Amino acid sequence: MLLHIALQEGFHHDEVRVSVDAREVWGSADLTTRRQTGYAAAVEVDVAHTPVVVEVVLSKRGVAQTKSVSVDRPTYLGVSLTTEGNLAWKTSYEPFGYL
Amino acid sequence: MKEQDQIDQEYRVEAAEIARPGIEPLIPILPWPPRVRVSGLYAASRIVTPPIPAPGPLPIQPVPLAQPMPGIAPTAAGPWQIEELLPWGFLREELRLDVDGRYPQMMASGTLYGVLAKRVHWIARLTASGPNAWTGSIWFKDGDVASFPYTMVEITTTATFLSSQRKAVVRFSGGGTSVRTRTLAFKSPYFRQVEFEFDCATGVTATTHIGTHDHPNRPATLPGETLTIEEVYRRVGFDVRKSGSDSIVPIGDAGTNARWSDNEMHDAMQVYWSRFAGKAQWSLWVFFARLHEQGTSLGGIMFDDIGPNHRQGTAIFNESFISTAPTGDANPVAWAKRMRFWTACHEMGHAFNLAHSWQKQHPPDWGTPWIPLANEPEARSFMNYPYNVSGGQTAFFSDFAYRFSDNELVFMRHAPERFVQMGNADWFDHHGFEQASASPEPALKLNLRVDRAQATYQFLEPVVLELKLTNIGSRPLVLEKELLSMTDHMTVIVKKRDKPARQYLPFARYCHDMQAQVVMPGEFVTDSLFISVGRNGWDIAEPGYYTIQIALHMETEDVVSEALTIRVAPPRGYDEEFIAQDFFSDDVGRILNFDGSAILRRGNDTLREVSDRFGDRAVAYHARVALASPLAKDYKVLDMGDRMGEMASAKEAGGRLRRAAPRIEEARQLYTSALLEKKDQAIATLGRTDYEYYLGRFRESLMEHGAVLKKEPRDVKRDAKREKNGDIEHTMRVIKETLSSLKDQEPVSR
Repeated sequence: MLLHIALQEGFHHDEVRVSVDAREVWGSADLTTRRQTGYAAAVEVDVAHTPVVVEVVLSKRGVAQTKSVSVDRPTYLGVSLTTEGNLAWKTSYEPFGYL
Repeated sequence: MKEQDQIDQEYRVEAAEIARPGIEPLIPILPWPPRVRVSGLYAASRIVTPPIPAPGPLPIQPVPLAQPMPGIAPTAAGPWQIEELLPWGFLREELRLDVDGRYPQMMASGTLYGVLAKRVHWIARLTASGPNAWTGSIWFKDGDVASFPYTMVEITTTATFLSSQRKAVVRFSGGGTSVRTRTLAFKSPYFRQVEFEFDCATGVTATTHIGTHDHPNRPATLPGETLTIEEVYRRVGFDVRKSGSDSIVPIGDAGTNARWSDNEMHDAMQVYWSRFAGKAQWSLWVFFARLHEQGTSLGGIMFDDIGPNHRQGTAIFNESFISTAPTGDANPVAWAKRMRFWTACHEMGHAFNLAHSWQKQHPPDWGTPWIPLANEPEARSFMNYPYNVSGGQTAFFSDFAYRFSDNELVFMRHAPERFVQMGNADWFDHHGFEQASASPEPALKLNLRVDRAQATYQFLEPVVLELKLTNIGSRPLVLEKELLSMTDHMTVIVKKRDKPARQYLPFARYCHDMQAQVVMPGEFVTDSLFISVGRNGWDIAEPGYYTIQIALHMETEDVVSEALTIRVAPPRGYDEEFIAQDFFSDDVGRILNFDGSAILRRGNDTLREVSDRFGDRAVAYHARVALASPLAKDYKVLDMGDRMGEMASAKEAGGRLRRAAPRIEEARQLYTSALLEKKDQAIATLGRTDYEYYLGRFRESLMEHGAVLKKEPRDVKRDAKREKNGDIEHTMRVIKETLSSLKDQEPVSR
C-alpha cells in the first residue's frame, strides 16, 4: 500500500533522515523548503502492513519524532517543522497540492 | 497614461461605488450627492535651481533640470504648479492617498525622489478629520530619513469631478522641525503602474478571466461579473497594462519530457517575454503550461528566484491537480476554471513579493522578514491555500471575495517600491512588511532613539537603543511594568543596506514578576536595548548603514516603531581593523551583553586591550563597564576542576561553587574612568538608561564595600527619592563624595 511522505514547511539546510519501521527510506544532508510552494521533498514507500511507525530525525537540531500511521489505503503524510522547532504531522487520503 | 476624459469617466463611475472592504452588495447603493473618489496618486516636481557655487578650484557640475511628471496636467500657471519648493536635493514627490474606493486602508504613503538616488519613503495611518481631510502619524520611514524628521501628516483634498483641478495639500509636522506644507496635483486613480504579459505553451489555454457566478459555491452577496486578472490587480490599486502580444512557447523548450523545470521556464522567459531585461521594472511574465517537472502536485510556481533579478516570471500548470474538481462537485468545469484563475492570481501575488498567508511568522534562518507578525491561516485571500482553511476549499470559496487581505493590500500599495517591484528585492526579502497587525487607531507609540545628535557610531562601538513607549490615546492604559525589557514580546529586525534583514535574537530572555502599571495619556515608559550582538552573532559590526525596526506584540495589536537608520563608521586605522578580529567574537558579545564575566578570560583579555589601547574611543566605555562589574562584588564561579568538558552532572564531576573575591580598587578605577570622567560621552554611547543603571551599581558597590557616609535620615530619604527619579547629577555627586571619604579609609578588600 502506498505511503507518501512529504517534507513540507520549515526546513532550512537541515540534515534529515526518514525511516519507516526502523528502516531508513530517505535522507538528505541539506534540505530546504521552497517557500514559493511550501514543499521540500517527498518519498513514496510501499508498505506491507498497517500501522507503520514513521520516524523523522533532524540531527543538527536534535529533533527526532515518531508517528504511528495507519496505511489501509493510499496515505499521504505531510511533515512540517514548526517555528518552535517541533514536527507537525498531517495525514490525508488525497495527494497534497502545492501552489 | 489614460486620456483625461477616460480618467474623469472612471471617477464618475467610482463616485457611485460604495467603498467598503469585503464583499460588495448585490444591488449597488448610489450615494447622493455623488461623492468624488479622492484616493490615488498625487505628484509634484520642481525646476531645480543650481546652488550658488562656492569659490574653489573644483568645477561645479550643472544640475540637470527636472522634467515634469508625465500625466500632470498643465495649468495656467505653468507646466506644473508648485506652491512651495521641495527641500533642497529633492526633485520629485509622490503621495498615495488610500481613503476610499475599493478596500480603503486609511493609509497614505509618499516618496521624495532626489538627486544621486537620494530617496525617502514614508507611510502614515489616517483618520478622517473633516469632509475631505485626514490626519495621522507616520509609522514607517525608509531611505534618507535624516532629511525627513516629520512624525505627523495632515492631508486635505480638493474634491472635484475635473481631475485636472484635483489636488492634495499635505502638511507635515513634528520631529522638532518647522511645518512643511506641500500641494500635489492629482495624477492617477491608481497608486502604481504594472504590465502583465500572458504567454502559453503549445496547446495550452490561458485562464485570465472567469464568471464570478459560474460556480454555485460562492458568497451569497458576491456580485456577478466577468472578472479578469487585470481587474483583480486594478482593485489592488495598479494601473494594469498588457505588454507585447500573447505568445505561444513551443513545447520543445521544455525538453524531451515535455515538463517544465524552473530553469527551462527562466530560459523561455528570456526568449519570449517582450519586456525581458536584467533590471527591476514593473513588469511581469505569466506563463501557462501543462506540467512542471514536479508533476501533478504542483499547480503553479513563481519560479523566478534565479539570477540577480527575482520575481519577474510566474507559471500556472493546467494539467496539475488544480484542474481536478473534488468528487461530486456541483460544477466541475467551473470549479477547475476558477481554480486556474485563482492560481494565476496567487502566483502573480508571489511576484509582488507576497508570502503565503501561513508564512508570516518564521524563524530567522529562513531569511529576511521585515516585520514578521501573526500568520493569517484562515484568511480568505489569494495568498492562502483554499484547502488548508477550516472546512477546506468549500468553506474557503463560500466566503471568498476575489481579493487580497488588508495587510497584503497595504504592502502592495504603500511599501517602498523596491520591496514590491518585480526584479528588485529578492524573493522573500522584506515580504514580512505586510504582516504588521497594527491597529488603525493605535493607543501606543513606540519610538527608537539614540542619545546623540546624529545616529553615527564609531567602528567597534556597541549600539544601545533607547525605547520609549508613549500612551497616545485618550484613556489610561495598564501595561506590564517590565514590558520593554521582555524581549519575548518583541520582534527586532536589523537590516544592513543591500543585505538581507536579520532578526535580532537576544542571548537571554528574562522572566519578570508580572506587575502592572498605569500609564496615563501622554505618559511613557522607557528602557534600553543592547542590539549589536545576540544569538545570531554580531548583527551590527561592519561599517555601513543599518535600519532597525521593532514590533512590540501586545495582546490585541502590534505596536510597530518607525524604522531607525544608523551608520557605523569605518575603522580609524589598522589597529582597529586588527583587534576587530578578536572583538567581534561570541565571548566578547556575551560579556558586553551580560555586563561582565569572570570566566570568559579570552574575551576579557580583548576588552582589557580595547580599554588600554583605545581609551579615547567609545568602545572603551563599554569595555570598562563590563570589566568593572564582576570585579565590584563577590562572584560565584562553578569550579569543575579537571573534569571540565566531560559529559557528567556538575555534582558527579565534583563541581563546586567557588567565591571569587571582589577587586574593589580596580573596579572603582574602571567605573570612574567609564562613568565619571567624561559623563556626556559616556551617556551618548551607553545610553541614558544604562548609564543610570551602571551609576547605581557603582554606588551600591561602594556602599557594600566599606563606604560610610554620615547623613541625616531625612537626607538619606531625599537621596533615595532623587536617585529613583533618575537624577544623574545627584548620584554622581554622592559617588564622588563617597570616593572622597574613602581616601581616608583602608580598602576592605582588594
